[in-house]
Amino acid sequence: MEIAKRQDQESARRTIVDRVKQQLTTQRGDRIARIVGATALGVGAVHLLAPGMLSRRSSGGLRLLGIAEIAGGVALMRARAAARAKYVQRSITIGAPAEMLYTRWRDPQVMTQIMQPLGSVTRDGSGDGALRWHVSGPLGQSIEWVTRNVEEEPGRRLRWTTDDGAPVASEGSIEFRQDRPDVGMIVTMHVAIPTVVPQILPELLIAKVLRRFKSLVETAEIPTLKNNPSARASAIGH
Amino acid sequence: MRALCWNGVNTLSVETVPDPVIVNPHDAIMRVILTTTCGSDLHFIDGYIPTMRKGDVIGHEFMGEVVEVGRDVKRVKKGDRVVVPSFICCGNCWYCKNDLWSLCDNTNPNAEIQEPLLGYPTAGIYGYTHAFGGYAGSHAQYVRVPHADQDCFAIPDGVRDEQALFCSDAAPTGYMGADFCDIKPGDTVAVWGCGGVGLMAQRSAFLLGAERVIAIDRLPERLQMARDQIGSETIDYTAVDSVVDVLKEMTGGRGPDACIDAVGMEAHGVGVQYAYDRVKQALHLHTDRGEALRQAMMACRKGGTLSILGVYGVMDKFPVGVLMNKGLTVRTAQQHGQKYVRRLLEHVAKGELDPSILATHRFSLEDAPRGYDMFKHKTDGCVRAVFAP
Repeated sequence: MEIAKRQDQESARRTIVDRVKQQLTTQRGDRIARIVGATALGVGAVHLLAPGMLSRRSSGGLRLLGIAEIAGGVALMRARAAARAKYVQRSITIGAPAEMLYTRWRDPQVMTQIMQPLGSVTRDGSGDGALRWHVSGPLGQSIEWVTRNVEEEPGRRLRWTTDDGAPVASEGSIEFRQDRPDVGMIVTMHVAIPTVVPQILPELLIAKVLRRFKSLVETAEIPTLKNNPSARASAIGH
Repeated sequence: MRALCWNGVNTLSVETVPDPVIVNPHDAIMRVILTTTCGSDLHFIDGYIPTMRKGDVIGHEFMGEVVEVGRDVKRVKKGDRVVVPSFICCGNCWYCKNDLWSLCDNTNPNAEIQEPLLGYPTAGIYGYTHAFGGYAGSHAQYVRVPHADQDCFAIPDGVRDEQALFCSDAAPTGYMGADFCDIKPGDTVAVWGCGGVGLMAQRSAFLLGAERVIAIDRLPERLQMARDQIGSETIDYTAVDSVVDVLKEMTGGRGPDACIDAVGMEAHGVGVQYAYDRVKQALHLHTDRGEALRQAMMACRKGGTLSILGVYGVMDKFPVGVLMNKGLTVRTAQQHGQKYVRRLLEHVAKGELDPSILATHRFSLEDAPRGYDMFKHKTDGCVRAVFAP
């Protein structure tokens, strides 16, 4: 009797734990959105209880209220993102002013250098900062699409979406927030990555994009193993 | 060009490979004059550290002559005789600007390999694993040097090639290790290891004001070098029952003020704990033999500094409680060479430091595999094998 009772309690406890675990470990993007959303709630609570505290910080340094805005943007994008898409958020800190980051991000030549050797980016002439992306797949196939800016706040944020009829549906945004003056700008990117992107984990892809952007901005070049000497048969290249 | 390549565990051979070319605008191409073996090479040669690829050109400690510069190289010129630190650094990221050069954000094209292992990527390095960038190394006739203006250091006229060579790695690593100890007048510093880095750390400790330096090793010729060339007192750990007890007795029962580990993951030792490490290593259950590090932790006086230069992977016998209860300060890093090279070259020019004592054996590049064999087995009193391509 005792043993059975204890076992019942055990399995009841386990069910609760399982349920909580289930909630916490669904799509990674959901978890990030949840954390960001929870932070926003926490921030909102602090703001209500101690209104002076946050506004003091937001005047010069970290814009804590910006987190609430990101959470809102996240919820919106989740609703709109393509059905078969992986949602990613990633941040990096870059030592450059926001205006320069904003301008460089919109430059198709910068995007082309970031995309090498996968593809290239050119200006599409149709307004709204539209860019035409050409990407070669690993089996020699070639994909092309156009992205268009739907929200532009110079020096602060950019949001874009793929044109209707693009073979690959995606949307994304990039935000620039001031960190400690000696460190630079926090650059946060949200992207819905379509699952047709071959063989590359979406998080790794976005991380690489942000790292390459940082290297281009901070050093005017991207670290590379192009033409790296070795004794391998494919020595031209790596 | 000819180059020494890694072709598998304990398999090195000299091959003909394409010459390096200018790829990025801040690159320079250098003709390698001298390049040397380093203890950390043994970790990937022996297969303890992963992500090498067959055909990789190895070597990360070198000096030479600039033969070509990229279009945006402003300071360095063709014909300059320079020494280059092992870590490739941009000079413009937060880490470089704060003298944390081996943590550079912008020189590892394979950052995604390191992130799961370390949390964040480090700088790239010449001639090492692909986790550290996969760049072709310096055991070759030519090498591409990215960010030449940041990473090429002009060698003063009075400094010989063999002296400048070790200012690429052994000397700055040793000096940094001593710098970490925050040496005060009267201090005693103990150094585990009388290889290239250990000997340089001992000399640097004296340069930075240590009263006494005590060196620990087992090879008679290396202990003699430490005594005769550096001025250290020495302990042969195979000849005493307990290194920790001997150090305590040599320091009035207090222990050294600072302890430098210049041994790393392939430590040798005696006793049960060493046997445990060897078995686990052989079974690939962990990568490290922590014998020297554990002794250093035990021996260090309360409130002292533990300065870790040895390269490690993962170990499971690292008694954090010892650090905590003794209130030790731990300082450790891969070498921030760019911070120290200029001042080291000045010390050499003034006759206060002579790293060329490490160059015990010289080989042509074609004989480099034999040089590594000699270096690995420490035969004929070999401390470093130097190659002249």
